[in-house]
Parts: sequence; C-alpha cells; structure tokens
Amino acid sequence: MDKDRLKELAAGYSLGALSESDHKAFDQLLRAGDEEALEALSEMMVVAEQLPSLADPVPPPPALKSRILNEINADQAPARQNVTEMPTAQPIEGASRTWLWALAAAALILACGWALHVRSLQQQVDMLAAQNEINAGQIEQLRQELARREQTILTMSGDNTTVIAMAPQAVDPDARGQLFFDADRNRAVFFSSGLPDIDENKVYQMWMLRGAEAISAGLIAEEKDGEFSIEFDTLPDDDGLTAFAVSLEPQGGVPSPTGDIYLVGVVPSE
Amino acid sequence: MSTVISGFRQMPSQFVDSLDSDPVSDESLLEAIAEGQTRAFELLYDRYSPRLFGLALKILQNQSLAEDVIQEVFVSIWQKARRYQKGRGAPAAWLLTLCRNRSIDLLRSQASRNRRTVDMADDIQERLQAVAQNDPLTAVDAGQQAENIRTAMAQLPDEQRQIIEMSYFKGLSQTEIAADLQLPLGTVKTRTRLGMEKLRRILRITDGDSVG
Repeated sequence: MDKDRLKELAAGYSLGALSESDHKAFDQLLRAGDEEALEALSEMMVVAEQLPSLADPVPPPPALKSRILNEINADQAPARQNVTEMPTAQPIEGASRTWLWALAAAALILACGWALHVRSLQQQVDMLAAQNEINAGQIEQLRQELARREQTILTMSGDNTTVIAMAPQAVDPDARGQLFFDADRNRAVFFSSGLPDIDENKVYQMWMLRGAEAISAGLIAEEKDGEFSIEFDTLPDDDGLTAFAVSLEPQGGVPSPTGDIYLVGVVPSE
Repeated sequence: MSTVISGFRQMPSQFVDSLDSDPVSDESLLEAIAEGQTRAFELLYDRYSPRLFGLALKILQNQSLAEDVIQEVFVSIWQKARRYQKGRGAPAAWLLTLCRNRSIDLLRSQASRNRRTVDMADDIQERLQAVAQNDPLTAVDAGQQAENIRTAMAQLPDEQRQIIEMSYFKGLSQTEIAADLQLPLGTVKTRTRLGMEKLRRILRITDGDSVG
C-alpha cells in the first residue's frame, strides 16, 4: 500500500475517525501483523494520546467523589465475606513468637493504610481550598478529620504501642476487632469490621477492665456499614489495666456493663 | 496463623514500600485497586479526576453529563483494574482513553449517531505498545506534554487543527466532517494526515528541547 495512504489510515484510525470500510481495511492490516501499518499507527497514536492534554484540568464537584466512593463501597461489600479467622480467646502472653511478629506486621500494614488515608485527606483539603465555591465549613471539617487521623496514627505507631487482638466470645464467635494501646500517651484506638449489625436502640460500648472494675471508655461509632471504631484516653495510671472489652448496651450507653460481651482483649503483662 | 482483621485490606508489598518514595506510581495504585484498596482508589481519583473531568467537559460541554462520565469511568476502573496490564502503555493514557471513549459514546448517543471510538483488540494493543516503547514522545511527563501539545496545535494551519479537533473532541468521522465542512472526503483525509504528521514533527522538536 502507498505510504501516504497508509499514514492517512493510521492518522484517521488513531483519532477514531475512519469510515467503516477504511476502519475495517486498516484493522485487517494490523491483525495480519503488517509492520509498516503498526509503525505508522504507533507514530500517530503517540500524538493522539497527547490530545487530551488540550483540555484544561477542572476539579470535579466534591460531592462527586463521595457519590463514587459510595458506589464502590457498595460494590465491594460481597468481598468482605472472605475474611480470615480470628484466634480464639486467650491471653497474649501465651501466644507464639510467630503470632507476635504477625501482629506487628498487621499493625504496620494498618498504620500505612492510615498514612495513605491521611495523605488522601490532605490532597482533598488542598483541592477544596483551591475552589471558589467551596464552603468554608467543609474545609474546617476536613482539617479536623485530618488532625484526628494524625492523632490516630500517632497512637498506632507509638514506640510503646501494644497491638491487642480482641477475641470473640460465645455470643458471636465471628466477631473480631483489634485495639492499639499506646501506654506512653494513655491512648487507645479500636477497629472492627466483624461486629454484627445492631438495632437502632442498641450501641456497642468499650470498657477498660481493672480487676473486677469495668470503666466505660465510650460508645463505639459505626463509621460506615459494618465498620466500627473508637479512639479514647485510657486511665492516667494504667498499671492496673488488665483488659478491654466490648459489650452491647442500650442506646446512650450505661455506667456498668449489662449486655452481652462480644470481644475481650487482654493487656499483656510487663 | 493469620492475624489480619477483616475489612482492613492489606496493600501489596511494593505499594507499602513505595510510601517512602513519594509519589506512589500509577501502576502501584492500579495494583492496589485491583486488590480492593479504596485508599489507593482515592489517591488515583485525586490525581486524575481534574484531567478526566476537564476532558469530559470539553467533549460534552455539559457539567452533569461530564459528572456521569467520570462516575462511570472511575467505577469501571474499580471493577476492571485487574484488566490493566503493565507493558500495555501508561495508566494515564488508559484512563484518558476510557474517559474520551465514554464521552464520545455519550455525545454520539445524544446525537443519535453510531459509536465510533478506538477500541483496539488486545493483541494489536500489545504489538503497538512494543513498537511505541522506543518512541521518545512516550517519555514526556504530563505537565510538559500539555504545554508541548498546545504549542504544537497553535502552529498548525487552521484547516488542519479544525479537522483534528472535530475528530478527537466531537467524535465525528471523516465522512461526517467532509459533509459538515462541505469538503471532498479525500481532502479531509489528507489534512488529517498532514496535521498529525506536523504535530508529531513539532512535538519531537519540542520534546528534544525540553528533555535536552
């Protein structure tokens, strides 16, 4: 085929502008492995792939991102059924060395995940600030969220942070959760995606156990479908702290645990 | 015994490693997305949504339709990230092509015209990539690329620039352009070729200047 004709076809093909018959003819050459056709197309495609840069970048409305994230979160729900087994209830000090290393690795992975999330939030803050129509309240809300996440990372990655597996109890053997306890800062953060759904008039409550005494650490918020978390200050003097526990209580919480205990995590002894 | 808590998905090791060497590459993000990492998805969204939205707006000239396209494109990325294969071209080009094709499809469906976007067979795409990998123009970064292509387009004769823009941003076939501009079809084909060749020549010179 004449070289100019070949380039004409390649140019039109790269722009998606060929007529049906021309498209078919050039496609056949490509499928047959015609080297000249491939080279001509390659040269044109490299140019065509730069054409989108003629469009000025425009930040989409912030609400669009939420819409998309909602859609993909709904999409990924079935994948969550493929979960790993939690260990049965037993004190941490009885665990094997492998188990501790695995916990540390899990902690590192989670910390990195949070770090990425913080970075993502920071990008959102920058983008939102650049938009004229942005509502100042939204920016402040994101800043607070960013600060909160940074605090969470500090708690999760402290030099003296202990990762405590919250073991399921008889009421629901599938329940699972993990707690990061930073003894230096007297701070803890708990995550779970394995607690069962609850009625509107119920709430999960976190407890700090000191001997026979149970001290409320607060109500556990459901961040999104099936994912629960709470970050809280632990006792100023944690010497006597023996365990953390999660119970199901009436909405608003109670001063002492009254409902079923779903998770228990033992604080390892020094 | 595993200690991973459900709902907190692990990241591929190379993704975790790359946190120390900012920024995380597009390829790593797509790998993490293929494994269901929503954080990676958010990063990719923040990185590319302004370019994709700008492109969709330029093609569709309609904010609401452009938002629909971006939503479709990113949901599609979430669902099909596994289909992206390394060695088949830059992720940016893949994303922009997805966005352009969907925008043109929508534009043409609104105008009741047949679909005509560039959906190449996988084997052709792979061979094409093998040829293109030695092309110096593929190595230009996005910021430089935008400046270069604007400069190059500004140097094209109006009649060539017009035809390339009608093809790429309005999704018109050469036959439709010939009818719109009342030109012989052969003239449209020749102007397309000449325009694309000239763009390539200018870009190669500009690239040589910018890369040194």
